[in-house]
Amino acid sequence: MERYDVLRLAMTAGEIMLVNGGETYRVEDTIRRICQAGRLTGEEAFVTPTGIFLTVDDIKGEPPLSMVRRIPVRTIDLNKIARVNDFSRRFAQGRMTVQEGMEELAEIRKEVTYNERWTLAASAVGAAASTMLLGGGVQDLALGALVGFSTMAFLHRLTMLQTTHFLKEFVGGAFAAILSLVLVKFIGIFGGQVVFFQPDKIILGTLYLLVPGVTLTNAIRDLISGDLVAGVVRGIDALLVAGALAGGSGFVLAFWGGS
Amino acid sequence: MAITGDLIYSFIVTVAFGLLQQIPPKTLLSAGLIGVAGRAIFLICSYHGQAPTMASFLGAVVIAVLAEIMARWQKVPVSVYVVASFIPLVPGLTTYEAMGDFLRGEYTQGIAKSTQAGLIAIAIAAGLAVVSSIARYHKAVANRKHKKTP
Repeated sequence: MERYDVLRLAMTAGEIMLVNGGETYRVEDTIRRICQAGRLTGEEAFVTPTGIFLTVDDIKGEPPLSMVRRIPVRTIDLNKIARVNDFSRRFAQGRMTVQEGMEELAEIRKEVTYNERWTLAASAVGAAASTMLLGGGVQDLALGALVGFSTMAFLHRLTMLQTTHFLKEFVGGAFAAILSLVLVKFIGIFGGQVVFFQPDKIILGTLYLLVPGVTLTNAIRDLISGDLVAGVVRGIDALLVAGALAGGSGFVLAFWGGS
Repeated sequence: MAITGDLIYSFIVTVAFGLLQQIPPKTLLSAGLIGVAGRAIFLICSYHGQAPTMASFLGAVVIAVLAEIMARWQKVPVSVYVVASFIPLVPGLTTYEAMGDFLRGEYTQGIAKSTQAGLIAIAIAAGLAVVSSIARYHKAVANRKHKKTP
């Protein structure tokens, strides 16, 4: 078992966690656990939301090793966090070689927990349910599901939005608002004024699905565990995402109300 | 009846949001139930005349406690449970109404409502934070005891 192999394994495990939305202390703990199981002492891991710095400096003889990895894009997949967490504990029990560990991590990285069909179904059902939770009527249910489904499908298709931060949320908010307003207007024209829809409840139902829940919880947990840099950065991230959501839908509503 | 519907919708919203955040399949059901518990506490407190901030705080505390317990039992990270369960408590409607007020030029109303939404958000964060710091303290004490008696 070479020292740099262990270091690379620890770094890869940490990277998978951080990319998919792990808390800072959890990433640091995982890296430490794997390093110690691989008999690397004197490890220092410094984790921020955008990168990992890892150095190992054994006191005896061997020269220090270090590794830095940037995390340019972040997604959210909490199942991978749970899987890597579980993996690091099993690796620490010592019944696994580094090679096997690398293979398992590669497998975890490729895994898809819920495919697109599942997430789109959840979007439709979730948007409809939150429309109802906010006080929408039965007539808003179907429209809520339709808008939630279409918005998420639209965001899935536009993968290029991932490259620009906050654009996804802005476009999502705007798309949900346009679609709801147009649909309600359309039904109003062709179906007469028999049914009353509440377009704001329908828009909000979809916006609920885009709430930055993971970023917000991680910000709180990071601040509590003393990772101040990561906590503050994630708090700002969550605020900007919420602002982009409100901005996207607010822009459309302001324009619609003015016309 | 209205309350039953509210709780059922909370369950669906929590499970759907959890699925969108890719939480492990075995935790979907229990996360949904924790979401319902938090919402139920919120509704009970509101019914007995507590302010929405206090009701949200207590709801968040209950969610965080249940999440800590379930996470230990199921051996998954705590955030898996917390992330989805607090969604039914999010003050979305108040924020949205505040935005509408600002668009209509009713700034006093808008500021009042956005302050309330902000306070509720802080209350939820505080509820989660209090429980998770107690859990960290508990864990640190347990570890120290464990080391003293090997």
